[in-house]
Amino acid sequence: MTRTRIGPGQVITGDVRAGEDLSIHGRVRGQIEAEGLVIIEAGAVIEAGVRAREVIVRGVVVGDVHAVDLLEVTANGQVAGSVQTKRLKLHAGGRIAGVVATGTPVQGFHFSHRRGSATGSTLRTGAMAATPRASRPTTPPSPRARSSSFATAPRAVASPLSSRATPAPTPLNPAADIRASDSWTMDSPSDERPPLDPRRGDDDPTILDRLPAFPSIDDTRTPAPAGSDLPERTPPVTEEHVEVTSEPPGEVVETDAASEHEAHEPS
Amino acid sequence: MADTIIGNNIAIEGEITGSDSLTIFGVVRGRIHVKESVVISPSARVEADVESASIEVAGQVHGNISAADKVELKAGGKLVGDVKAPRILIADGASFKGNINMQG
Repeated sequence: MTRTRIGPGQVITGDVRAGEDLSIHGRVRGQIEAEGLVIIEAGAVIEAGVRAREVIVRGVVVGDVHAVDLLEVTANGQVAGSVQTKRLKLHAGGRIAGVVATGTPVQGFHFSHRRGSATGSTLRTGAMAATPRASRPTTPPSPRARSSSFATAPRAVASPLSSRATPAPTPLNPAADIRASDSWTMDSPSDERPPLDPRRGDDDPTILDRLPAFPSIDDTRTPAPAGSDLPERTPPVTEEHVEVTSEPPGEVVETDAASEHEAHEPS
Repeated sequence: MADTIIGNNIAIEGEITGSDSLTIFGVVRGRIHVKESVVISPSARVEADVESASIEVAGQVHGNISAADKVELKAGGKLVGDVKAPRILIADGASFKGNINMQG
């Protein structure tokens, strides 16, 4: 089985659709959609939206990233764009500049013309047929054009949000999509969060597991519970973060006590 | 291996340019302009103009082909389009429809 690879000296201007894993060392401008894993290697520059089951960013992505299962940004990885993923793994040093929504159901990509069943007529997907070859732009497509191509793709992921009071994400506007999901993540108390994945184990290092409800002013005046759940507030496990959590908890409690004094002294 | 491989279940619509060699097993539509070499394997389907130093066609190509060095059309390969190259090889069993220009 050959593994698809875009070499470091290669530039692709246009859309890449993959029914298999993909590793990119070069440059891509356009849109990347894959059923499986997409690895953006160190040195790669992607000026494109990425939609895949799993995305690993070791290079630079300028564009929105939608990962059905996992997005991993390594220490030198950079994402400039909105991120929507079920699980996010951000290593120390990795950068994301944009709106991040984790735990949200993300529509996947289905590669519709596998080899063997492909004929001349079935080669065209809806998105391809809508953009004739002669008029293919050499510049990256606009966000509107990209979102409309998403709309033609089959919706493979059932949205558990649809049964809730919050509106289900509309496929035509990715920005509104992210805002809607963002609001329920931030506003709703942690015990009302919808179940993400019943198969997920307790040791799964996702951000949502470790993200407590946002501390209110009252939290700072009750040091005992705050101290007990402090280690859980740290972001997902990386080497650097492990060092942080290994600090003796006593120190942290002291700082809490100090802040408590500060809070009481004026009164 | 510093080359590019477009796998079986990959469809690229657009332009591929660069310096690496390129091996195609999947679908490419648009334009291919690669400095070193292009190999279009039996499972590949290319609807694009192809430009490179050395081009090997064992799959299906619909488009014009221009090579600085050599074009090789292998048995089982199918090419519809014009070919321009100083050296051209067409194997027994290959299918070809188009013009040949060997003037350089």
